[in-house]
Amino acid sequence: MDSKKKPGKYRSSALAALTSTALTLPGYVAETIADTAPERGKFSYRYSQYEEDSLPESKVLTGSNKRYTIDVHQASFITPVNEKYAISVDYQTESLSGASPWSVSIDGQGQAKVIMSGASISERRDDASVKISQYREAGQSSVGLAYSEENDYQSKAINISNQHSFNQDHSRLTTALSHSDDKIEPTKGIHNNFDRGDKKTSSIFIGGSQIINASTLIRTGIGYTRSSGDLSDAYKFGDQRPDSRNQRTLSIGVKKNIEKIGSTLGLDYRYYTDDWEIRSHTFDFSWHYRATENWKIIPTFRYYAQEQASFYKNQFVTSNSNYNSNDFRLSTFEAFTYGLEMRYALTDFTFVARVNEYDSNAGGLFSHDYNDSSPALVDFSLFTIGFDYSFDR
Amino acid sequence: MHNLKLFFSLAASVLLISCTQVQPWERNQLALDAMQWSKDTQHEALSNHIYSSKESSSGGNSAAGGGWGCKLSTVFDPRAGGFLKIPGPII
Repeated sequence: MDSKKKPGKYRSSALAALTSTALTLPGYVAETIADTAPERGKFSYRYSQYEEDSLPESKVLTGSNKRYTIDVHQASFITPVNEKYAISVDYQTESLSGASPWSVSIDGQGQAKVIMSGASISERRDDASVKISQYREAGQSSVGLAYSEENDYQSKAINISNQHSFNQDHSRLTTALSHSDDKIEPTKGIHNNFDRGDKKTSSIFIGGSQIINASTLIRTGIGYTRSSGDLSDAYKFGDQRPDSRNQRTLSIGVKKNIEKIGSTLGLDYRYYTDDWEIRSHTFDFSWHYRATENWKIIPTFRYYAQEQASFYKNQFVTSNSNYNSNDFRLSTFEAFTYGLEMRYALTDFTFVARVNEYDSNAGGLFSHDYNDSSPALVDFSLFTIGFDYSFDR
Repeated sequence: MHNLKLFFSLAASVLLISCTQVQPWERNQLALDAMQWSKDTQHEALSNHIYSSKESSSGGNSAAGGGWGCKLSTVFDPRAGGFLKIPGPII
């Protein structure tokens, strides 16, 4: 189809396949073809609506049971500068309204109930980032800067990554470093724990990917993140957390293409642990089904289970414990995410629509080791539409 | 530490058994969009953002610390594992 419109760019199918492989798969390029910047530029836009389910009235002690609704606009622009360099710019803006849990209290019947933040909140966040990538014989490197701002929060970050391919391009090693410097000045009111806070976060990630055969890829990786500073939640009653946190991850993933049924299956697993004694397991599954030349249907499923932080309690105990939190996100729970994505591709445009549903429950894989189930666990839905537009530079 | 040893043992085992040589002209399937580790960077950035604000785990794929080596993308969440600020935007 493309060759009819652009006869000068016609290539034989074999050569096209080889070139396509080299250009679209930076991790697995042919030995004689180095990593190069993408041939074409791309502009992408996404609109998403995030909506949390209301809490049942029976779980709320005071305040509104309505939770957050957020509108998100994302724009991304990527263009090659020359064969060796490319630049990408991302912008995201969000507007939020709704209420959130402020604390949990035990009522007269001994039931844990949620105290909501009261009046509905309206806020906006803007986020911009830029990245420059350099391509070379056996890999690529990039450096990125990011800035995020809202009325009470500011974040600056830098990210550096390097990829090196070897073993006749069957293997690729990725190393990435990042550092962020965040500041918060909570809105004045009864709901804030401190007037001003700072936090620094540094991370390292080392990962490897490997071609197993002509239709199978695997990847593994380890990550370490250290955060220090004001890690307590400024907007939660009595929230007191350690001033440092060391987080570790181990990951493995596999992708398998099954040409007979026009499908690609993907499975990823992550193990997470930190020195707040939180552990978690995350499983991600995806099925890419190429229904026609233009249509793709992609069902997804995610399972997440975490063990509570050592200092999590629904009801605070004012004894010798230095740390307290009844933030539901630190409790023991499991969550299921069901997703369905549809893609329709034309020559230069691809249209995308997606829906995700997130359901959480107390307990789960770690249910043998939890003291309190939080009444504030969240369920939400995420709906997204958008498009990608590819263009010649 | 035990988990780390187990992880490296598994990773080494997988690499040892992965001896199949795949020539460049045999990589058509590997070049499919669906076979890319990172396909929709905006969706992944937003999803990671949401998950890291509603759960207590982050990193490992593409958040703080960089990614698996995806394509030209800014899959980068500067606030992954952030202040856990509640009344502000989730992300």
